[in-house]
Amino acid sequence: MRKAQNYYPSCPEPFVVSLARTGDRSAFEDLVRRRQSSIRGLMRRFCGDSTLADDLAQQVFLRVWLKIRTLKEAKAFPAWLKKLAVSIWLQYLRKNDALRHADEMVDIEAAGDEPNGVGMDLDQALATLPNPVRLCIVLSYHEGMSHREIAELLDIPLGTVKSHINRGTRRLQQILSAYEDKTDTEASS
Amino acid sequence: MTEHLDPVLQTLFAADQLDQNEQDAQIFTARVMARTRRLIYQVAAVLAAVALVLLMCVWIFAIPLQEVVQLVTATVSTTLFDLGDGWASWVFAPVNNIASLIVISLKAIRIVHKKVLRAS
Repeated sequence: MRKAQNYYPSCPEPFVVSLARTGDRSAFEDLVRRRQSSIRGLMRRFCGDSTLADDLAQQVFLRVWLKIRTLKEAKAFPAWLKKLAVSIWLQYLRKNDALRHADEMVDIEAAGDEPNGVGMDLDQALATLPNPVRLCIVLSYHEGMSHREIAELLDIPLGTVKSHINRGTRRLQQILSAYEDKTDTEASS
Repeated sequence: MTEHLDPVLQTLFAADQLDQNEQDAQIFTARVMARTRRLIYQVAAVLAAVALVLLMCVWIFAIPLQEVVQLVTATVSTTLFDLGDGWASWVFAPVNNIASLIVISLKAIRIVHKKVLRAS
């Protein structure tokens, strides 16, 4: 006879969330298995380091384990999980004092750090953005969240979110076009 | 309100997804579950330690605690007004003591506090 937890992968997520809220460890394990890829991906986008991203993602799921009983509606789990992930990332930034100097990097277009081109991928391009800008860009492009949703999630004004996304987009376009030009030149020579 | 996103960046974000296999996912899940197990043991150890400390306190302070309880009981049951031996003393007995005064005062403070909070 198959164990009950063998059926979890085929169950709808809200049902598994409801079971996890009652303290069912197998249901929680199934939730981790279902959501680990998206949370690790999100964290990797935030920090650009896969080892750190995995550690932070583990912290997110530990927080889920501790707090899942406080989740009122099982259907709200995906948004709640995303909120926890952002909260863990912001906590990490605060601990590492990374946001303290964020305001100093106001004029990112004026920053003189020209991309070196070689090996520049999306994560490296993202790493050149100030933390608040990167956070907004990742939530917008990676998570597909609207500006309003990001403003609500981060508890910052909508105008700030728009400004961060515009500046971040311009910066990424600049970096990636420079990379494209360089690779084209290398390919033709 | 339209939110313009750069289509090239959108494509890039969509294409550059986390590359992981089933084994990788299993390892990650196993690590999370191991950490939750450790967390359970830690919480259990802390609760056991707290229970032990409480038991020791009760054991050490049992007699002084009993005296304090007796003193408090005697104090809070003291009548506020001397109503004699008539029916009035029987009717007002539940509220004619220091304990009732404390309870009624706390309730009143709570109601006022709630009203002030709602008003602000």
